[in-house]
Amino acid sequence: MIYLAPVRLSLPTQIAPLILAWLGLASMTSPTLLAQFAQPVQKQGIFQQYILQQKTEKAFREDVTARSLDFIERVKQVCQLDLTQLEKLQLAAEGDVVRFYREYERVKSEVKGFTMNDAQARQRLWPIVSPLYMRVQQGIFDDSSLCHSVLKTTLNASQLEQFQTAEAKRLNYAFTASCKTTIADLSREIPLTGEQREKLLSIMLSFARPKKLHPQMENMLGMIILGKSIERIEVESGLDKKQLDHLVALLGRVRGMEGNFEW
Amino acid sequence: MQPTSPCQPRNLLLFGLMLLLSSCFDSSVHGQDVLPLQAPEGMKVQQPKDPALMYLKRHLNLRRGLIKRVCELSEVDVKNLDSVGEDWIKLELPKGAPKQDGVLKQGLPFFFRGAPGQIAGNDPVKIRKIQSLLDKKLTDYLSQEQREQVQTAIEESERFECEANAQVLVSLMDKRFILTADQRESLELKIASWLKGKSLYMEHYTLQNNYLPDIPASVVENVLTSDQRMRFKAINKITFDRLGTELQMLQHQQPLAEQDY
Repeated sequence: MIYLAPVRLSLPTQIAPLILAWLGLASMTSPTLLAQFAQPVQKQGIFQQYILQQKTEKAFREDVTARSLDFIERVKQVCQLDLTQLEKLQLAAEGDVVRFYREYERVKSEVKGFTMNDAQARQRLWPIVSPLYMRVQQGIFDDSSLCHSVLKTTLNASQLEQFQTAEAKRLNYAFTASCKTTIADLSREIPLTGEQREKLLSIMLSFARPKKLHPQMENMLGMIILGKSIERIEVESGLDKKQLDHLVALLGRVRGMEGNFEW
Repeated sequence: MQPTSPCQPRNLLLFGLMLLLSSCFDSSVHGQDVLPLQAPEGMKVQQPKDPALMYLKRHLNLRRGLIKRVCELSEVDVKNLDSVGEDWIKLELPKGAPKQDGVLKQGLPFFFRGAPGQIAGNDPVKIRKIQSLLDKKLTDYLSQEQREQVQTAIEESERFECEANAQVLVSLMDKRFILTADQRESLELKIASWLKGKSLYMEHYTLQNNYLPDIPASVVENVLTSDQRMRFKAINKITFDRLGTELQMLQHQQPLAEQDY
């Protein structure tokens, strides 16, 4: 079977090669030029695509710096830091940034010159790029960062408790949002009454948030929790057989993904 | 071929001629917007399904399922509800090529407005209109009390979705601007109120932390600090409408599973 989509090129696309030829930028009959308009070409470098994620290097560096300031700002928002504590945290943040850029430069030099349309290179270089990619996704200042270690030794017991409470509130807020949006999405697949939604939400929120959660997996978190609590849902949620059957079918989409979550 | 200056009179003339020619000849055949591709002889061809039809069928099944769960229905009521089906939707969906009201099909204005072809009836405004008609058609069979029950259930569901989406957006903003608990609470209320009547495709925002929907500054400016306001202004804002995005996706995906609730 072949799927034939209706095709109609806009007029500017049709004559763009001609305009380029007129500007003297290419020959009117150049096959390369014609091919360029016939199919998408991914000329972007692997590093540009995976690590910088369409940003310029300058914008990326600015973003990293802003995030390091954000982390300290988050602590300052909750605890009254004295000058020594602030300096220690700033130093630790700088250390994390330096450590990150050391890795950044190493990976950049290893993948230099390879573009996204080179499938073999993409496959071969992924193990080199992926740790840095994960770090960019999760943020430089995660639990394993120098900043977090220094935080534990720099803040006093009361400050640390304040910070941990505030962080837990923030994470719980995001977790509740994730559960609620999963149920809202589910309502677009299965007709749910208000009562059923509330019961599902209460079952989901009785689960603890995973200890570690990759940002790319956040979208799946709600469905994973539903999968883990399917027995409770069968008994407590008030979903009838048709609804449950459809829910089980939908959960098939995330089967095998549980391993990506650390509870 | 040697590069030449674009400003040479010969080239200017040539360019003018190209513009004139290209704007006179439309790519459509016999006034239709779609160029059908020819399949090789003997090869089976699967025609693309109409995404609007698939979308509306799912809406019909969901709405019917909700009514059956919210109201106490007699056998006759159920039979009446089940009588509304694909045939009714097909009657309502626009036929043929999309209308080109007031749009020139030739000439320079058309050149500058060249747009990809649209499958007939794949128009979000029209689909929303049919959705409302469909809702009305389904509730016409119900008593006044039952209609109110259904209306309350729909409003509850929409409110739940708005609140959930607002919470997700506030949580994303928190990652970017570092909000206090009070700010989160205020923003959630304001954004939920702004989201009323809108349906966004949230995955675009949750998968990439680079975008926010086009929330007007007036909605958030009283809650954010000046530094946060500056950051809010700097972030890319694109509103991904759910219906439009789903219709686009349906053009390339397998048809939706047709569940009868």
